[in-house]
Amino acid sequence: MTYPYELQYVPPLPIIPVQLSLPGDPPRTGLLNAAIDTGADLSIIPVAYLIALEAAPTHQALIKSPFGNPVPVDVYQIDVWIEELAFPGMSVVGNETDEELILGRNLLNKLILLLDGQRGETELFETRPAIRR
Amino acid sequence: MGRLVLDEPLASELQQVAEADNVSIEIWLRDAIKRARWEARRKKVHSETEWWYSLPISERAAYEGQYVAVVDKQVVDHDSDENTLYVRTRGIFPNKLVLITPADKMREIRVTSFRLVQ
Repeated sequence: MTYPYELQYVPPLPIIPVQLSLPGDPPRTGLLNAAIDTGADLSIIPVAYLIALEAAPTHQALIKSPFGNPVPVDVYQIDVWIEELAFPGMSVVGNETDEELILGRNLLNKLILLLDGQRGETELFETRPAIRR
Repeated sequence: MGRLVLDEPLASELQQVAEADNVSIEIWLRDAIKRARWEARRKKVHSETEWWYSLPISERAAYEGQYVAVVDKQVVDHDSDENTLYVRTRGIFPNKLVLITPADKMREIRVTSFRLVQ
């Protein structure tokens, strides 16, 4: 599965289209472009999507970045879908201030990804490809 | 379910806000109900969180290294695996909001990436 980088960003941003649902449900959203961000511990979802799903927070947490004090956030459990692949019970942070979806390492570490910046494409593999040397 | 009849000026006000959002009254009301439910659940989770972390450390120490499930200011279950606890408590309390939080201290999430605003 190959996905083109989002070219509206400078430099271009690797993204994967995802769908969301409550745990155990089939996908309940349309395709939503999510940024690949290995610098984020957890995935981050705008609260508008979580409200539409009627997801309830499971706990509060503190989000820390190098640029400010820790900020309290709500964490939810939802299922994330990439095409027909389901990633059940993913913890996601609800974001009230931004419209971007971010896939953090709690989901990315389950994937085999090739970020081909030269072609501007992200490739998702189901099994590890042979590496050419 | 029957029909809901609204008096003026509420009926006109509702029509105005729905038109401003470019949606039907039914969709506007449905979304408003979802948001109100979300706000209430959020408040509840915040209040349960505050209660749990205000308990004396000696009391919380019984669950050290685990996740606790809290319903109405009572610990109802605990487990070392967050997802196992989530699935189990959802089965036991399908219609209750259950706080599932690390027993020792509030979870810290790091986001080291940043984006330049052009």
